[in-house]
Amino acid sequence: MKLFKSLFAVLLMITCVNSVLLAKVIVEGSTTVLPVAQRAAEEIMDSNSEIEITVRGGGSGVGINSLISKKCDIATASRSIKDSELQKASSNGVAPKAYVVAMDGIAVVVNSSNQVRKLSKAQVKGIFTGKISNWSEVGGINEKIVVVSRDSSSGTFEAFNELALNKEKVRADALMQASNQAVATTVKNTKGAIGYVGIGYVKDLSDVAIDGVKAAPETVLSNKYPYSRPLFMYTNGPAKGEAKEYLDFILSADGQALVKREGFVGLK
Amino acid sequence: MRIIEKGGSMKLKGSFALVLACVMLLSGKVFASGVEDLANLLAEKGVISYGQAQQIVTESNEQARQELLSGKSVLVPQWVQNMTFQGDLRLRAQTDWDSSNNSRLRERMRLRLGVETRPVEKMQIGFGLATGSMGVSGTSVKDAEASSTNHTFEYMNKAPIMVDYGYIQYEPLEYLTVRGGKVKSKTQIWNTSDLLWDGDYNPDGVNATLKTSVSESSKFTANAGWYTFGEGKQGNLLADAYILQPVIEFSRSDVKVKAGLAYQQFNFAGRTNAGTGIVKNYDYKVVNPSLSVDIDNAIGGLTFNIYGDFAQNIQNDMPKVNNEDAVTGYLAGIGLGHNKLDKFGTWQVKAMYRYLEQYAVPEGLGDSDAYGGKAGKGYELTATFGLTKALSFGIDYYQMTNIDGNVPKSLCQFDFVYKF
Repeated sequence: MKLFKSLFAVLLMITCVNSVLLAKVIVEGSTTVLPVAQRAAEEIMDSNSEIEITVRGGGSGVGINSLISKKCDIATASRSIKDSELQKASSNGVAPKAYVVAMDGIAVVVNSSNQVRKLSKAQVKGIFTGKISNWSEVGGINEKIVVVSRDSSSGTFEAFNELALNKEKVRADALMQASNQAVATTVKNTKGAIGYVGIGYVKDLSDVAIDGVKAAPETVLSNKYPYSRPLFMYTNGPAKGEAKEYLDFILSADGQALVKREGFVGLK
Repeated sequence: MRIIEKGGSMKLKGSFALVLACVMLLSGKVFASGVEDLANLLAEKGVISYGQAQQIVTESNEQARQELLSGKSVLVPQWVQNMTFQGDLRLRAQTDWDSSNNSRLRERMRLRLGVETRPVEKMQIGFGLATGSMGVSGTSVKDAEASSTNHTFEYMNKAPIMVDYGYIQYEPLEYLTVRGGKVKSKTQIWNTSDLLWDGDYNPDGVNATLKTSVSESSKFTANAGWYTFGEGKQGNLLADAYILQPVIEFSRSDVKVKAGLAYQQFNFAGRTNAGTGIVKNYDYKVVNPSLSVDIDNAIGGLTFNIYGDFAQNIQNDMPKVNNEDAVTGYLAGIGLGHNKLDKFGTWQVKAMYRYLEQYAVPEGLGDSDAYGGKAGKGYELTATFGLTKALSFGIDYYQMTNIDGNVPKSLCQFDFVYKF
């Protein structure tokens, strides 16, 4: 019994020491960047058992606020940090340093039964803000347009709202979805539907050329596609230690291959 | 000069580009457009990928923004970098008439310019300049009408400019803001209208605002302040006022309800009555509840609101008017329109009824356009139309009378307002 107690104490001590020595990195933020952040964390932890990386979603705003309040080491964001957030960070003694880890194109997708494959930026804005309600107004058949959008807390919504809608309100009857996958599924299953998803989610959906340019890696990287955006990771000052190790991996050839596998556009 | 020989190793090219980019990023003196041009050139020449060019440009832009907004840019002092300007120019045609066939037609102008800066973290300093009426009092030139920033066109006279407000603001805690100086209007209290406080008054004193979220859908705000209304001469105390007001706000879907209960104490009796505008012969203890309900998307995407302010002076021994108490005032209004007048086609209309007895609040404190800021009752109708993002046109019509209902007066204003 005494031996058992001693063994238990030693094991407990090892566990405690291990948990103290284990380097911890907390990554929090964008749901768009989440798959990349998670896969990168898994690969690093597989090759280095002394690092524990916790990855959380919640949205770009949540991640940036967490960085500002020093509750995470890396904030992931599918939009650039806002001026108000930079000012708040400065007030809290935090100096957000941006790392671009990938590019994302927000593709406009329609139900496969729809023959419309080209739209202008003005038409997209008209459709999503409610000024255009029938496909016949943009060269399609006489069919009601069903708008599918991301919910307002997502970074994809914010980016599309800024890039495509000039910050005007999405029409009140839009079907608001909680994820890119939910938008893709709804558009696929709803006649007359139009939505927007990250370029990685287009797959078997019918995407639409905007002002004659389709969402593709080369058009996103060259800024020719109008609805493209960088994906960010922010640290407090230049990344150090394990956070730097994490970012170095994502920006490496292996990391960028992972980025592409997750459906985004790699930088290299 | 050819920087990179054709056929040179990609590794060398990549290293060169990386070093070049790093030098540019670290120097802190390279403008973002220069970085973009060079990065794009390097990408076009195949030295770096378009993705790396994007990375360099975006990260350098982000770095520049971070340095600028945190005041770390070495080019100009922090307080200059943090400086913001705002203002407006209003051109007004105003006509008023009464039952005695007295009438006036005036062409007026208001120009306001405000400057704010953050010299250090959590501190803000601001001041504003505005047109107004200047008068001579003894040997000094003073503001002749604190409740107005209008300049009436007359003999091509130049418009005098005065300091409208000037304050220092500090946020010691995330939820607490304190200010001192000639503070901006509406920081002293939240009311739904100008029944009690004309919007052109910028009170002199100190105040604090506490703001906190109670839950996801509710907020609590408290306003507290002390304000002076004139010198204390010959051993008299300053004429002053204290305001305390808790405010709660609930939001649910498209409905926002905001309610406040203010206590305003004006200590005037036996103290100075110098200056113009507000009559300071009596003390006032005013209990002042306010309520507003806003419903977004109520009718065709427009916002509907209903609001009101009530004032009851509970100070004892106030004079009677026609042997009756005259210590009550209220205003109730409704409005419909777009949330913002930021483009052509947007509009807002409001209709309100006000009733203000002589001793409900210090005479002259409320809206100076409503029966000259004196006791009265009647209607006000407003209609405002957006013309561009910054320009609007509005009509404001008052149909009022004295409390007895036998001395009617009307006033109509036509305004073009450009905000910058």
